[in-house]
Amino acid sequence: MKIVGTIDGKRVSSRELEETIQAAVNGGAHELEIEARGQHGIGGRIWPKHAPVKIRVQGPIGQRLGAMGMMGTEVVAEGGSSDDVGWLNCGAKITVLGDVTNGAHNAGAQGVLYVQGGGGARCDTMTKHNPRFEPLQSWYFRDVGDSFAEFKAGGIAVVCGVNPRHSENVLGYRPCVGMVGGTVYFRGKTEGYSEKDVQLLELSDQDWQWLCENIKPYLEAIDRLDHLPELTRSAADWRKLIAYTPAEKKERSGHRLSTWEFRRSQWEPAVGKGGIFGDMIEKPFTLLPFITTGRERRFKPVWNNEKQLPPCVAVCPSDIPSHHRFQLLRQGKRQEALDLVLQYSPLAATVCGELCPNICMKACSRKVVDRPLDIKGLGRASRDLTLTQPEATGGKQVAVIGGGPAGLSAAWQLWLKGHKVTLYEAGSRLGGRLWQSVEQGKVAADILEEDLARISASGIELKLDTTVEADRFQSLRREQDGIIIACGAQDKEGKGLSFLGPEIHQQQGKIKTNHQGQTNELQVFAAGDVVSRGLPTHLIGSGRRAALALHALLTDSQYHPESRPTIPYAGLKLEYFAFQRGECSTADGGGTTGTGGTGAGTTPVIGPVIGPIIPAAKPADTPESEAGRCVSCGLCRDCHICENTCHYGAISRRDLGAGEFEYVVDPARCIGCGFCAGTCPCGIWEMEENL
Amino acid sequence: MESAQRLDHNSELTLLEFPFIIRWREDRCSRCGRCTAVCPSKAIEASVMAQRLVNSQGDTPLPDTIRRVSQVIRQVNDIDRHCVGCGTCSLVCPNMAIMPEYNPSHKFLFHKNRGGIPYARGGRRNAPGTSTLDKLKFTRISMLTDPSLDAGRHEFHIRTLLGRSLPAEALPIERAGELLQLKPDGFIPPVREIFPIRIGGMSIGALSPPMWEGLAMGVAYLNEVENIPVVMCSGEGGLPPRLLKSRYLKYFIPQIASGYFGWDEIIHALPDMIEEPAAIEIKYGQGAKPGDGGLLMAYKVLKLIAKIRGVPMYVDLASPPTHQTKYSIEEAVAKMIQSVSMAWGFRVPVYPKISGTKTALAVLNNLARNPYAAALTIDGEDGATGAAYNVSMDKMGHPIASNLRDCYLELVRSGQQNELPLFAAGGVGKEANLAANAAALILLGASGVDIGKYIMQAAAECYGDERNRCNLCNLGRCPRGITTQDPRLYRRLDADRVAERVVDVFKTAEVELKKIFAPMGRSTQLPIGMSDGLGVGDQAIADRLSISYVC
Repeated sequence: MKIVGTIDGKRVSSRELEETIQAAVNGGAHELEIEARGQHGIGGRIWPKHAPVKIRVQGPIGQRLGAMGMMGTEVVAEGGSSDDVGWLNCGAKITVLGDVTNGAHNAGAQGVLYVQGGGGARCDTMTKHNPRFEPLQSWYFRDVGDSFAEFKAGGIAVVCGVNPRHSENVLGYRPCVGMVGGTVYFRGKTEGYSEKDVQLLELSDQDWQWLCENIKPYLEAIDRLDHLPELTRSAADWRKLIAYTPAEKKERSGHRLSTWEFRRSQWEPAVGKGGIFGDMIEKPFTLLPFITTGRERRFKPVWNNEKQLPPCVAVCPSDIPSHHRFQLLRQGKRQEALDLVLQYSPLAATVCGELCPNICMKACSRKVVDRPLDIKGLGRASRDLTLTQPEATGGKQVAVIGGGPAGLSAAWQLWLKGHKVTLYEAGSRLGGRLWQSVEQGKVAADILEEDLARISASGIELKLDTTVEADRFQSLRREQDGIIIACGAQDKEGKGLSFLGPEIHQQQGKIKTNHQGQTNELQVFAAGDVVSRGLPTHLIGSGRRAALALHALLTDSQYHPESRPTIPYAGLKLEYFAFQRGECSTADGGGTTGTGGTGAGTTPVIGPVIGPIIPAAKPADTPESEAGRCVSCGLCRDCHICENTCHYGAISRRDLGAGEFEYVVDPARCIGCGFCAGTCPCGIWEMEENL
Repeated sequence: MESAQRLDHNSELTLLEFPFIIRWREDRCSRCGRCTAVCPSKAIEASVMAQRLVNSQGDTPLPDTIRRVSQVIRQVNDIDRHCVGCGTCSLVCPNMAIMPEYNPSHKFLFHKNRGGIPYARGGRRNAPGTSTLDKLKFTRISMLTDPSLDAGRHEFHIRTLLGRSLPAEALPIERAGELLQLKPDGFIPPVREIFPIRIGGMSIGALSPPMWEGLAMGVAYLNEVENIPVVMCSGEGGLPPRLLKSRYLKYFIPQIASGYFGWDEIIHALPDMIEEPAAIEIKYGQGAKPGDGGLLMAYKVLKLIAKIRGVPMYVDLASPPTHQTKYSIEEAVAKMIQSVSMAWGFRVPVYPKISGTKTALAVLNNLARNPYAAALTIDGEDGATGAAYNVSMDKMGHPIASNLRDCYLELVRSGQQNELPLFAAGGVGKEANLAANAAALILLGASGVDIGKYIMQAAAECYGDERNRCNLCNLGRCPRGITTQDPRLYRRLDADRVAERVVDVFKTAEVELKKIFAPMGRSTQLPIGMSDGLGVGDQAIADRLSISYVC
């Protein structure tokens, strides 16, 4: 049956031609001859009912010849055809006795395309393979255009490369981009393909067998059987491109040159070993973890025992180390604790116990928890002290002028240092201004007398009722190695200081000294009210400092007045210390599990960490119970908190013998976390930059 | 004596004033101290907590008091030790017991001026939210009107030109029979073909050795293994002689700035150079701190830095805000460009970098007349820094989008848009949209962009963000080891891994640029100034940038 694409010389539309063809096939026609006039889609969508439908097409052919072609349909174009031959082919066998232009077999899934010439651009793109059917075949006799087999997912394409238009590149520019399946056999040269998607291989025996078997019907169909010997001469003339499997692609992508390999093979050979900074940095760039030990720590803990003063000592004009006394009490050394005060003051019971306003207690850190320690009580307990003769022998001769608190303190300290001390007092008894307090009822006479008796019993040579006149002063200056003037407060005219003469600088009844009590004359010191008025405790401290400075001068040693910083309250961990609820003072502690470090007879309870908001009731104090309450600011309590806290066991206690100890850090274990510093009750551990 | 009241809360800040609040879970904490060991700002510390509980367990009231003192992690409420939210504590915590949490209602800046010292920091402008660049959309999609390109299939050439391209009629060439030849005394400016995203100037000194080397190695790898011609600016801290004398120099842009650090070493190395640098950048300004100078603190000037910069150790290194001997734009631009060009025989492109400013057009017009000016880089207000006052970073400078656009349109008016390339910087990739921001700037008229902060964030896990997270760069305490000279910190950073991430970033950016340009139908030429491809859902921005308003 012949169908003509013109009526009265006029072209019929593609729709009308299609309807005619469909009607003919439905009417039982099996062999059609069509004279086309550029109509599109000829030969597609034909579902043969009984026998195969054969369609020969002549004349100018439009686009999409055999598009959506079905099995059992055979289309032969007697000349070249235009774009998209066999588009979405589902089984038609299409033979084009000429060239196909762009997009042949695009998205084809089954069927066969035989091309007698070459293909245009984007042929065999998007082809599929459905496992239900035989794979699609596309055969090109010459070569194909650019972008061949893009996104090919199945089917076999064969490019015979006979008399190619581009003899250097029979597969065109960049074939097989995105190809994931199917096979491309080709004969001839190629200038490249998508190496990321496909691999180039020699033909296997099976490939060659398939090719030899299937090429014959193809060559017959396109009337080129004479080329059979040439095309089947040798498998070596052919090669194939197949897609990498997903697994192969993954494996290949894992093989990118690592930057480490790049450094080793390219970077360092060009710039030098160790990299661009290798000649400037001593140590190699080995990696460090975030958590480091030893020298690589950013911070390190330091056991700063006694590097800071507790507030009580820092404010005490007499420098009395109450915290040390409480520590000795905690160690059960009551007498030593009480005797210790004699190193600082010969008048502890009178002054600390009675007259002193106890600035120490106002500063006491414990008051932040509940109430300050009873340091006055410690003074009161300091009546029965052991007088120990000094072991040291300073060996110099010194005179102290004035037997009041400052003079007594100065003479006492010089005697303790082993000097031969002569004390001149114009009156008939020692004590000076302190007797006024007795008269005022501020202190009982027997307390003062006890303190004075201890001084009298020392080796200080006392010259009572002895006024130092100008002559005596001059002779003292000649005879003595040093003099401390502590003659008490004077009127503004300084009449009482006339014995000094003009050599010792004075102003308005006061002797001018430096901060250590030294006058303008090297070996003449002054202390007490004659320098600056103060409380008895100031006078005692003033006398002590002048004495120690003079001692240093006489023995060619150094005297460093106390200058350590005061530990701030925030530097302590007062949370360890429980608010002491006075009403519990008679309880025996049963029923509570607190460990507030309090002494016997009190029940530890919690209190506000900050601020003395509730005045705590005061239980019966003893020096021992107070010692338990003492925070021990800046002085290691030896409580082992740090040792237990350290997660890495880096802290240990080292016994130094004779009751001495220290806590040490193993740098190999310490990470510099600061837990020791953060949890130390006494503020001993501090973190330092680990330089 | 310390007053007890000092310990009370009368003048303390609550943690709610702080920008980050530490969430610590006592039930999970093992008290191992890893968090406190790594905290860069000492914002957390070990402490103790006392609890008193009264229990009654019997059938009748029978109080049983329990006192418990335990070790805790405490956040410090000292403003100078504020938590910067870096999260290193959570990184090292074995039990997921600790994590800083951003506090949106903080009042940090009210308090961070102690001692009369304004707050200084690293990072960039603290302005979270969508930037103008991120508001721009690519609205011209090739749909049937013209075939779109397939980013996965088509060949792309994502390249730009760094250097002056003379118009055909201005080329100093003449006919010689069948051939063209350069006229005697003719000068053709040097031009480099590079990837349009560059790594902007970050100095050795500002960056740690492994960070700088990691970037440098990544750049070399990209060029030599991946064939992506990325170039990197040195920043103002010189270059190590080993790099100057290597074949890799061609991928680097040495920067000369007002401190002139490292330039004697560069000049000494000239005879030994086997390659010429990609270009030379003259820094006049920086987007993050316009009109402000740089300062490398003495504690960062260790042996390595001293050697490379040619200065003694442990001295503060100031880069003044201006070049000390240049008093006018003519003088500054002409002198500097000419002198620096001479060093390499006018074979290397030389261009200035300025901070974004309303006066950028004046600079541009000057450059347009200078035959040796190779380009202009404008660094917008969102540019990042290693150290600057917060007020400079947050309040000074000009946004890059309109600044760049004005300059480009000015070139269009004078017909020179294809002649003098503009490079834009400052906030590119601020919200991680590197390729999109770069493409937007290219469509507005930039020939390329510079990145800095982005590469630190992407390649070295820099914690910094625009909520002021971390931003400790100025203090040399970078917990990642990026901006520090302390070996204990910078040895945390693996240069090889930085290089690997640099490679990842640029390979990804290239793919994304293709994904943007392909639907717009561009593959082999950058769509510089193709502003009809842009749209924005904000009328004011649309008007200002001369692009379409879309909604």
